[in-house]
Amino acid sequence: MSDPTSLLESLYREHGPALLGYLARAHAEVGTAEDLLQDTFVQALMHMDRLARAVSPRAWLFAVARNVAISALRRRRRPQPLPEQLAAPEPDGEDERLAAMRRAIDRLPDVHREVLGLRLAEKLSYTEIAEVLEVPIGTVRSRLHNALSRLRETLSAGAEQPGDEAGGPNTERAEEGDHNE
Amino acid sequence: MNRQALERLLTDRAAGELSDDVEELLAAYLAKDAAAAKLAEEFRSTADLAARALAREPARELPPFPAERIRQARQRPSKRIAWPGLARRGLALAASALLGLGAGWIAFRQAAPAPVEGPARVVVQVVERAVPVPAARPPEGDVAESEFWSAGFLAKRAARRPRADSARLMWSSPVEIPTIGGGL
Repeated sequence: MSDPTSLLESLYREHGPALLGYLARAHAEVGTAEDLLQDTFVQALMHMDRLARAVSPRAWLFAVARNVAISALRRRRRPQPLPEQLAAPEPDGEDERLAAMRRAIDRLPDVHREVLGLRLAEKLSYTEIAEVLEVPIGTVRSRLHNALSRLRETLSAGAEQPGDEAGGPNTERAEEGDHNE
Repeated sequence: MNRQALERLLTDRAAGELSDDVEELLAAYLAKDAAAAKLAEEFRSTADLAARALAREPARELPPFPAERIRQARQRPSKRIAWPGLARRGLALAASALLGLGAGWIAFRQAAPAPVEGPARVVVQVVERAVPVPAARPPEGDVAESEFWSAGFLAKRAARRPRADSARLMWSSPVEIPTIGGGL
């Protein structure tokens, strides 16, 4: 398995589906997830020397994918379509609480939503998320805690006020209590 | 346990990041505190619902592995500059140059002849050049008392003064006073 191409192909088979889902969910506005996924593995080839130092191959690939998506976003900088989360129609008969949760997630600050997705959807550990986002583990914990607390309060209040929709996805930075350990 | 600490533990538990020991301790605490147990249930249901909400994206079909692009990327010469390697080589060159310069300087100092010591004798030759004074025509006859301060009287006196066009200043040592010797 010393051949980088064989190693990458093996990683592609193992982590490709998760990476594709991550790119489609979190970076849909940049381009097609399939293109970003292929760019991810081409970029990964260029930085194979960092694989040995990574927490895990999975975390390393997510970090590469995230950087590829951010670079693509910087290059394009064109009018962005609505994110898929908002553009997608609600499936029929879906639980109202689930719909409320989606709206609440869309209104989270980007940094909180990103950590929430990496943990709950991609099942990355705190350590892996810290490597992907290049932040301390304490910051990951803090952001996840803030995200869950906000969602819990929103759902507990049971208040999906019509006026809340005006703001759209919240792009503010994490304003409270990121702990840098 | 204060509420903030409890909420952070509940977040870690919802994320599956608690160790077994802490999980057991937390479960024991929650069994005794109904309010804390209610809060824990809210966190768990929130995390579950959020996970379901995030997982709604239908699974996409994985595109084929980009073998051709990767093959082309491998054949392409890398444009990246290996700065660390380059910097290491530069530092090694600079260190070698410094070492060579230092060794050369020491060798030069050891090979150079020692300065010869002896009595210092400095001879300073002072040449006094006489500036020609335009000779004024002396007044006719004796100098009257009223002409004592006149230009003509001064010119006459200057012409009578013995000349010392040059002299040799003998200075045998810097710590002694120089003496004036004979003319050249």
